[in-house]
Amino acid sequence: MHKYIIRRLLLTVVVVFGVTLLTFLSIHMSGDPTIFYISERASKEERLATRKRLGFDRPLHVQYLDFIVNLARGDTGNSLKHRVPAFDVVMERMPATLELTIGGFLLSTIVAFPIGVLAATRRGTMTDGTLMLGAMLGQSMPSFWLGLMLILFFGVTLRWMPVSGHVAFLKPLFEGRVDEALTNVPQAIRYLLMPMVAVSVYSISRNSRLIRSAVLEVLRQDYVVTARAKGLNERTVMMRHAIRNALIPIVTVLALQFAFLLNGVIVVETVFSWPGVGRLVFDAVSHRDVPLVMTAVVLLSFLFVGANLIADLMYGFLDPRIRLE
Amino acid sequence: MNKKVPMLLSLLLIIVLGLVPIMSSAQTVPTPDDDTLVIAINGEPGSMDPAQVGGTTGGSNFRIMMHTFATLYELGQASGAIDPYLAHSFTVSDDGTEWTFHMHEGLTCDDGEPLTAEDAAYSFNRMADPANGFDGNSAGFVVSSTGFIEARADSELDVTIVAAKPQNRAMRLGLYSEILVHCKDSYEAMSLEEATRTVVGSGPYSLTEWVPGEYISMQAVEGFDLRPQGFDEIVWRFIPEPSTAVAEVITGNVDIYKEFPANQADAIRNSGMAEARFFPGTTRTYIGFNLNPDAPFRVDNPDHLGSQAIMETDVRVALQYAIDTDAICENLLLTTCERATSLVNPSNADHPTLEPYPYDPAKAEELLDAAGYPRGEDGVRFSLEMKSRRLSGAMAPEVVLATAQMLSDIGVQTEAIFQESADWVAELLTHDLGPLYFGRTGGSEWSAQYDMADIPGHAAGGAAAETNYTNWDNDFWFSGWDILPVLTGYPEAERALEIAMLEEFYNDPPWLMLFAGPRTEAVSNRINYESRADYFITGYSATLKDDM
Repeated sequence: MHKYIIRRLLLTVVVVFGVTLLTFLSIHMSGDPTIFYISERASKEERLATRKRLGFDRPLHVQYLDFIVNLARGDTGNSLKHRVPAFDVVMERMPATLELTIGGFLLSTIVAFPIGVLAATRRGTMTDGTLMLGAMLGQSMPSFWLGLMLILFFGVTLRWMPVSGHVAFLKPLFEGRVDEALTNVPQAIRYLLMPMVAVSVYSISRNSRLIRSAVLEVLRQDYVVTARAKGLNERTVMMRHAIRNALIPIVTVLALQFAFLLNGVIVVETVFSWPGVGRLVFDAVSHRDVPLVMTAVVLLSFLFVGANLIADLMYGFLDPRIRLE
Repeated sequence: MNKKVPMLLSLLLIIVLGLVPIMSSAQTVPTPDDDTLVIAINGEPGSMDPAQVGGTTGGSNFRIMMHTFATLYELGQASGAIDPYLAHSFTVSDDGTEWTFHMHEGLTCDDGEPLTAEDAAYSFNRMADPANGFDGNSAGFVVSSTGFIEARADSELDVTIVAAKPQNRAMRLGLYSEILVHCKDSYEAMSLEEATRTVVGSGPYSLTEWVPGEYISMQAVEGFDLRPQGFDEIVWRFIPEPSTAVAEVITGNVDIYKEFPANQADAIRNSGMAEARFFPGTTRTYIGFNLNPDAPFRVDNPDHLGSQAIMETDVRVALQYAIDTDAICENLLLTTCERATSLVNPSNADHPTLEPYPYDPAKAEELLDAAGYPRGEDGVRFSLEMKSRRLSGAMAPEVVLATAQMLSDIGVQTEAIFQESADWVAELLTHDLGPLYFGRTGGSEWSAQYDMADIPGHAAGGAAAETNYTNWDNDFWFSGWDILPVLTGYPEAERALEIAMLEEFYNDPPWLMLFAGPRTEAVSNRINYESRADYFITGYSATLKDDM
């Protein structure tokens, strides 16, 4: 197990390296970032001076290697827009993104699971058809549009929910201000609800379809038939034999879903003015703030790979026959 | 079945009980109180360093910082006015290069430090010091446009700003009015990094909280009497999505939101919460004819009829008649606009003889026939590409597509091509964008020369000048710029030359002239607030209505 974890952690380095390389190349392929840092009336000399000051006059491979060497030392440079360490800017926004991602993950898991199981156990019935039709609609709905519709209905028409904004819960918690974090909980949930729904509807739909398939697959297995033949009641058959065995593929999907939610928050954070990393990255890409984009990508890559690692490790707990070597 | 019903009911009860407190508190979504003004802006500043205006840190920071920092003079609320602020008057040296501002007595910064001429001089010098690496409007534009050399304190209340050249008074004063004054001791004690987030202001409000990604709040400074302070607190909310900002206006959570999408005006009006205002802006919208003989599209394809045709003045004049700006403004921007006669905002132009080119497609066709570009068998005279970005307002894709269609209607088959901003700007700066490009550029209400400076004179490079994006090569225009400084102090002669230059622009147009702005602004019904035509928002001038 330890060897496996070490191997996976080493692989993480390779993955992060690859991701940073691709990000670096894509951001530079879209033009010289210098133009975002000069006045529209700047002279050619000023442009060249700014280019040099920002280091964009160096060959691309030198810029990239510099970034990697500094990254190894824990220094990802100063954000060009914010003029403070990019790492600090990203970490400042990370708690809000985690609130949204974890909230969305929990919601999508809690809702998708019963829907998937119910659809599987009622296969071919109207319940199954209705649930899967809903799932298909949910998967087809862009989160941007859904977010605006939620704002329109619950925020503007009914006035039940705040249109946009955020009340912090994790940030004060991480900073040791536990009382403030706990006091903020009701407000934090209020502000989280609509963005959380917008970010998780796609996941709910996709997960419920996958859970349905996984449970159906297990229900066809001999040991389920045997359990029923033994006269076990349906609840025991489902809980002890079917669902537990269906969990392995489901856990894989859920772990990937966590990473998917991290991507999805970019749009949702923008719609709901949520002060997270997604919105920050969007803004940083628009401004070609290379150090900030790279820092955010590195940190999100670690989260992405970490979620997958956790999923792999859970296999062993769910199915003792699996040994990770 | 019997077991399931109570289970489901219990689950439902838990959900309802859980949601009740959330919903009940949600129904009291707080709207701003009477002491607080809430302004929504799309972008968040990266820095609140007063020497770093726009540029890297985003253009929105000047809007905010003009509440926390004061300037020697200020671009006033009224059209074209430049009003005294920290300085009550100024004098200009005989050669026009040294401007001495006479400041008020008893001024202080937020931390109580006396604000004197030494601080004003420090603000200019700090901003212009290359070692500090500031970019954007102040360091990147004002310094070069005014030929700034240095600022010095002549006495406790007199600060002199030295420039390399004389300049039109309105233009110089307007440019100096964009420099935010801050206290020397406070800022010398800070690192550049600390100055991005720490504000020791000199204006009517002092920063109280900055929550990144969410808002900046500021409190009225006690005893500051150079400007009104209509509200005790101003909150600037960062709302990137325009539809969300409009929803906040409709629900009464935002008092001022500039540049809302025109198609949401009815939603704002129908809400009964706010007024949807449309008014002429100062940002000039135009179609540029790229006349650069060395542009890649021309060099790579020397026989391309369209890119050669627009090199001819007659063709460029003919195309002016093809665009129905009234239809564009009324149907797409939902307002009326005044068509421009030149690169100067209509409010600045004050031209006695020039009339905007009318929409007359028949005349456009007639002129193109006469210029030797008849319609072919397929109805096409020649084809052109028009490059644009996907922006909002006057540069929205539908506006770009409408103009392309209008040109196509007279036989000039025009394809609108939407590019990534970075690519578009990169080609623009190197004069390679085109053959046509759909563009906009910031303008003013206080100086025709400020607007004209987009295409500077010989000294700045003539056709090759950085901001002469069309590469227009007109010796009369360039010579005009050489003469203008000599006429400083002779306003009538200066104005006559400006008018002659604008006539030249009209008759040999490097732009297909459209309109200035227009701008939109949503203003809550609970406040009194006068909208500004320019980019700025002066929240300090807003007051709560008496009946609210």
